[in-house]
Amino acid sequence: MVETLYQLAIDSKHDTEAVEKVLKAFKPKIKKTLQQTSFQNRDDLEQELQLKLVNIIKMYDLEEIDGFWGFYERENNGINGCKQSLNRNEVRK
Amino acid sequence: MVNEKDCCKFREFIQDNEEFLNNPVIKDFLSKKANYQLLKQSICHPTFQNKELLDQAFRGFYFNIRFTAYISSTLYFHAINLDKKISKVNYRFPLTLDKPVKEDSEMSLKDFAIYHEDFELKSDNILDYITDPNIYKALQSLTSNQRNILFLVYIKGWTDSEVGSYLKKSQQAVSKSRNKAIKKIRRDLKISSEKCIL
Repeated sequence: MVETLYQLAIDSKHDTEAVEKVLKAFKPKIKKTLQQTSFQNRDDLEQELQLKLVNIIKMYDLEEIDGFWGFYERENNGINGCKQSLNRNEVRK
Repeated sequence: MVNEKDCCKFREFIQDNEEFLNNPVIKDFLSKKANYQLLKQSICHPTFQNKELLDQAFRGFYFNIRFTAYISSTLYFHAINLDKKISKVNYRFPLTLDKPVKEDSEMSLKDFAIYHEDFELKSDNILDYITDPNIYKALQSLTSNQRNILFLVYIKGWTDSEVGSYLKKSQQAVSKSRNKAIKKIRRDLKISSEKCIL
């Protein structure tokens, strides 16, 4: 993809063309998911899924994504947290 | 991946953070040469700009993973829920008469339901309406006036007063004749049922 999905998602907040591009990108996934229903309902389901996708794009919170070092800190807190609780358990035993 | 030319801070980082570097997300991210370089730069020359470059690159990468995963799950479960709803409706309402027979057709199943308009029996003789042989026999022994009254009251559904004004008789006379006729039929039917038992 020429533009990254991240950039498209940011643009989608105010640019409808970007939304279209995201829809296009996920078209194969939607097609595959149509197998969940019977043949007669597939057209309707396709429309419903596209609608759902547009809503997701609009509502998705882009602020919360960690940068590299944020991720690093989170991982280390997780690792250290586990180690600490392990130590605590050993001490109790 | 680590050369001797690299600054020692970087080598330290690689050594101290083995677990972190084995995280599949990080592994995937760093498998790209450009990203690996950004990490090196950010550690060896920790300027704000270098940090920002690394963060942004990672954000794009990480967002891709999380966004795609979220969309995949959501669409999958949404599809299942919608299909369940349709099945529920079809289960509760197996037949819809108003639905077009084929797509875009103007005919619905309603149009195929045949209505026989000419089924009405047009006779003023009450004997023509009776299927039970015992009742048929009982009716034959009545006077034609009684049969006429029974026809007007029980087949056409008129009241005794209406029959009276039609036959130019009083309502009481009509009631009397009708009740007498009914009693006679009952007597005849009781006798015939006794015959059956015997």
